[in-house]
Amino acid sequence: MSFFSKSRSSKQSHYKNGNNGSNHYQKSGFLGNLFNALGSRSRSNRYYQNYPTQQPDYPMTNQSASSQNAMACKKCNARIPAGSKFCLECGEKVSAGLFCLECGEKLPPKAKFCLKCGTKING
Amino acid sequence: MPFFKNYIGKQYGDYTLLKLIGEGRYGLCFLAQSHSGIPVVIKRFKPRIFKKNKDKNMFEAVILSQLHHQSIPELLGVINEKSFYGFVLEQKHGDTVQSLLFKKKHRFTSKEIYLIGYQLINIIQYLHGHGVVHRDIRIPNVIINSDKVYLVDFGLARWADNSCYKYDVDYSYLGDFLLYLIYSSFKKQKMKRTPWYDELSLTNDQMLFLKRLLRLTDPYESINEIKKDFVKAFSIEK
Repeated sequence: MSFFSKSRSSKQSHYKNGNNGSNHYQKSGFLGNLFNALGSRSRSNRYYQNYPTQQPDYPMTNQSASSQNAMACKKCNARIPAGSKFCLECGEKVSAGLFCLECGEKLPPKAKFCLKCGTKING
Repeated sequence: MPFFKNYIGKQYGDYTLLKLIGEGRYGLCFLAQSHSGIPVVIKRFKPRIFKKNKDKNMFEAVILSQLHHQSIPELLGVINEKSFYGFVLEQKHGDTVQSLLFKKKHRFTSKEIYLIGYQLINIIQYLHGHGVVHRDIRIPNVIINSDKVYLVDFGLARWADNSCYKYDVDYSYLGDFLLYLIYSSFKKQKMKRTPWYDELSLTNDQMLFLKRLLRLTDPYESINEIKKDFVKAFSIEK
């Protein structure tokens, strides 16, 4: 195992250290602010505690929405990730309400249900 | 002159930058104003960081595009001009919990801890219900305005999966966040470094609740269970 292996791992979950006390919670301190600017990742992952993987009670279907069904921007032709309200290259607004929140499928105007997964569309 | 002052008063897209309000690993956060006088927040990315994380930057925009909650800032636009790349976000007025604790020296009462914790759990419940893990629920990212709670900075937010991005990371951060509130009214007696569970006077329910959030004992598996136990442990109506 290399010296940096723990801090460089991106596969671990980053849990907070559960053993701090007043020395930690009552000080904002120079180092605390410095770490805020640098980001919190590198501090907390030292305290990874290996409990069994949780079984979440929510579906995890939205993940695919950002990686599939991307569309091209009408203004600059850049690829817009599915679900984004704006082109991330030129800032052009994408027509509202075009994607299903469950599966990321593009929705026809005034759709009441997603044609792919059947989810009811609100509003 | 600090380099961020180069941006103040300049116009990007439809917005004029007014003042610097925050700074992070990603870059700078400015208060800005639209032509019509509407205040917004503009999160400007450091070009080097933005280029390095090009594939990951889209998560914040896509996730915010799909969330509609009064306690979460709305994504109002994207600016990409004159080597300035940033997201335009709805401004949420108020003080961060970090500012209340360490600048205003506010001491949170049991009632305030309950009201803030309950609202924050509701926000997390909404996020997890939409498949989102925030991954950065810390005191600088929670804003309080009288009795309303807002959660900002979705730069590390991701769609949940069962390997890298798990919901229980948010539980751990929630536990850490609540301890900041509880410690605001704690008076230290000994100089010795002591963990919170040996230092604070908490009820058995509160102790078990926080230990489970922080994974010191059998961890929680859902935000619904957390909400139920939080009400039981911290409710002021007993």
